[in-house]
Amino acid sequence: MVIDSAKCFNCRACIISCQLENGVSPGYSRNWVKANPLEASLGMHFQPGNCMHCDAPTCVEVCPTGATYKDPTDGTVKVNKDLCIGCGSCIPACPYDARHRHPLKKIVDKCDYCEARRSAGRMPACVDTCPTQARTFGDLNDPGSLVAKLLKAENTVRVVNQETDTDPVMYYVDQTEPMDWTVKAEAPMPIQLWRYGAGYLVKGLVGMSGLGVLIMLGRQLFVKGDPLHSVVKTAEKEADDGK
Amino acid sequence: MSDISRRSFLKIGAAAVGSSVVLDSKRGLTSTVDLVDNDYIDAEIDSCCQFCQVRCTTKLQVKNGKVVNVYGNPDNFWTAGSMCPKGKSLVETHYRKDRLLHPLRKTVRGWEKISYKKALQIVINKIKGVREKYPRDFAHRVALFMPLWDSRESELAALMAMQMSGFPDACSPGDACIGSSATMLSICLGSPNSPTTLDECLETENFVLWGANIAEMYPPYMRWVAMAKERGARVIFLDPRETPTSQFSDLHLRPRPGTDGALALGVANVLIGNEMVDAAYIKEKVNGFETLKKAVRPYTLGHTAQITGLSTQEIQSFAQILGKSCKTLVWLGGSLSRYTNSMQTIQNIIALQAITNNIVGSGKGIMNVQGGKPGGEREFLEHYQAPDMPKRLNIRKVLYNMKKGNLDVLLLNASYRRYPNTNDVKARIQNTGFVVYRGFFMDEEAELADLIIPGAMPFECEGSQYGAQRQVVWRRKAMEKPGETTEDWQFYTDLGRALNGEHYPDFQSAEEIYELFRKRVESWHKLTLDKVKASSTGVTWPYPEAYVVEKRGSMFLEGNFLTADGKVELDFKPLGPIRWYEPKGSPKDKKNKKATDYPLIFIQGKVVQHWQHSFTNWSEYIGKLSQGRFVQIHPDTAKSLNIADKDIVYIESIVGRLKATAHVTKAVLPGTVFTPSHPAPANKIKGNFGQPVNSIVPNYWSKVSAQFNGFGCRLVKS
Repeated sequence: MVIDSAKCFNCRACIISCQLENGVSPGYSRNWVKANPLEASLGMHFQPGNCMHCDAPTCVEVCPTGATYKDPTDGTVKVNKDLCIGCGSCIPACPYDARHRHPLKKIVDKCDYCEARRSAGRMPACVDTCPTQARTFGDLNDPGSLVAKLLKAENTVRVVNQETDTDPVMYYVDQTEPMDWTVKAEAPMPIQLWRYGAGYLVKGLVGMSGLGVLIMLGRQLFVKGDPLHSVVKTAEKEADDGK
Repeated sequence: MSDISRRSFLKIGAAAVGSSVVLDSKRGLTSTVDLVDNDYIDAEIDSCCQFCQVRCTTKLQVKNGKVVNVYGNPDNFWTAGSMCPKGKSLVETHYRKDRLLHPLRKTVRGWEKISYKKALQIVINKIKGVREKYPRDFAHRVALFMPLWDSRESELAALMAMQMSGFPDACSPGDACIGSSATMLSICLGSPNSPTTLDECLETENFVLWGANIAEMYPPYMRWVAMAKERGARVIFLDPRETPTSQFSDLHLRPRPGTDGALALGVANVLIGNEMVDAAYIKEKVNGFETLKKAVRPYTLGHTAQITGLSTQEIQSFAQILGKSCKTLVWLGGSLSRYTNSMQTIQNIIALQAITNNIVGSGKGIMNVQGGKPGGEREFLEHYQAPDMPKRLNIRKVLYNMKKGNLDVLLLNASYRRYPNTNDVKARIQNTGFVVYRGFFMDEEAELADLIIPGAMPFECEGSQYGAQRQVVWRRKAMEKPGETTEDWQFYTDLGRALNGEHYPDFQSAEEIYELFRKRVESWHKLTLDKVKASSTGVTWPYPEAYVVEKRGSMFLEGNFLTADGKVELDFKPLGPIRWYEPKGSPKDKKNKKATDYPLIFIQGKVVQHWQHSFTNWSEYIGKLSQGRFVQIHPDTAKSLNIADKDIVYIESIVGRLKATAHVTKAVLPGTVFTPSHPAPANKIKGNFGQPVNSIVPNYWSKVSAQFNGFGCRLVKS
């Protein structure tokens, strides 16, 4: 997506359009409009946005079930509803705060550029409803697309978190304000433990279990007679004899 | 122990967990229908938004007989499929659990649910009772507060019911707040309608948004402002406040609230003094130029600067821009009509356009969004009125009747909070014999009513509506109305027939009313239902037999105005001399004895999420995007009063006070405060909640409308 934030006047139709289109509850949102203070050097200026569908998404990295993934077919970062367990690990992992836990569905919700609309040949809801067409959507890899042409013709900037460069795929024409609102991506404690401690422990245990199985198999194959088996058989025979 | 197998136990357990999730998913919903979730849609129905005069045409997505989503019709010429949050919020409000679905009668034990038939009979009996008790002078004892929400046909049905029954007092919102511009356009140009259409902005050199905060009032029109800019137009914005419209303007002038009329005279003085007017056009098409010439003399650059707070350079520069260009389009903002001097202000702006030959022609004209209503109503209604019906009283006289206890039945179809000094109006309604409310929620109006007959909401009924570009659009019914709610046209048809028998037409649908009107009114003849229904934009009025095709652009063919002599009238004696004066109650008015006590200038206005102070306040979605009652204060003013950002303050006027959160910002001028119009107390939604703004507006009126801005107030820390 390429956004000309100078065209945005903060009507926020994109927010409510997205909410209605995607069943997002009041007070939650898949997209936003940031405002810079009136006294700032740029004057009154607004910055629309949504998930930046990053090429190095930290949200994908922390998802314990693989529900969050970068779709190689269209480049969007998606949540597989069937795999998401609603643990919320990905929420603080996003430096743009682009995710929320849906209060009714209890799984993580985020922008997918209105996949259903796109498959019906339409633009995402936020794009269609914008009075001044501040948002332009399309395939950046297609040189004939409007977004690719805009990217070529205009100077663009990206809003990038200094501590976690997720390589966002969202471009703003010319310049945009504010630039300093992103947050440091955080992996929640259980995920960190999983990655840096519990992960190794569990892997070790699983490895040891596997080794045990292999040993048992070896014994079955290469050791003649089975002392344990002999004991059981003897006990059964004595029972049969009425001892 | 029962023999439940381990497998069965697991199945039951899974079902229990599943159902608890389903039940839990309903918790906390304000609506009784789930919104769409990228699922299959059964149908898409053509509709339109019923809020502002942009009149966005829309597509309603229907699933299982319920509307679950709305989006803008991409083929609409004016909107290109864009919409704003207001129209989107309708989906939620239709399904609110607290929506009124059955008639309610007030009793000593509280509200009693009754049938529609019984409720209608109560109203009929009340009105018949008035006619019987006062056989000679019943006319002004029954009144209607308009507008009606669902369609133009409903308004017609209601007006017919009132007039045929001999009750002329149907009070429109224009009586209070938008009468000035329509009245002055009528006087000066001969028609109250918007003189031209918005597409002229693509051909203009100067697009002057005079008091017109388009970005917050009519968001879908911003694409036209942006397109005009791209085509080289200079956008000039006049507004005391910095708003999102400011960022789209090339020049933003910030005159003190209520001084626009003086600015127009000051600019006219520069133009006349420098011979930057079209003398030939004036001679041919303008009456009263000599009077204007004399009137502008006192408005020198210095004097105008002193009044408006602008610098002499700003005024000079503005005048030069207008004088050097031959194509200027002026958009008369609704805010200009909110002062007691508004008639003079609008006359002065029309005069500026007239003397520079900028009223008719490509890239020229005056736009008046609030006067976009197509004509023909009066012509039609003349056929449907009691023979001896007296003239309609203006709203002030109706309010006086209420105070005196002379109003027996009030059909309250709109918010009373639109009038100044709201608490006083409330007391007058309480002093009215019987109040019938046609609304949707248990709001401030419902609480005052003796009988509530809830209305059907827009998705549940069909009918036409009109827009600012004089276009007529049709809304189709998309789903069934719930409970015993009724369309307004149905209620007023039932009432009209009960009171007038067979004389009142037996309308079976809104279509029938539309067709009757179209056939009766010449300027509507070619606005056939088929044409209107087939159009994704709407069809432009007027469309008489003489037109071969629909015509946008100027109202005035061949440049002839609809005044008596076909000229622009600038010297209308009943209005008094061409002049400017301070709005009533202004702290700058030397005659104002309370100026010291109330030294700040008060202004109010709409914010982008909200329309008026009723419907949108019932949306949770909107509430989450709103900031409730706040007050913008300039840092200098805040400092002098020791008020910090986010402090809780009271805005006090001579009639009341409001609690508000301070927003310290340079968006307002020093000495001026701004607060939004929408908050209302009945809904408990944070963001939408607040005491009615007009409860602190003093009762000041011009000849045709009320004043809502420009009076004195003060701030007191809570």
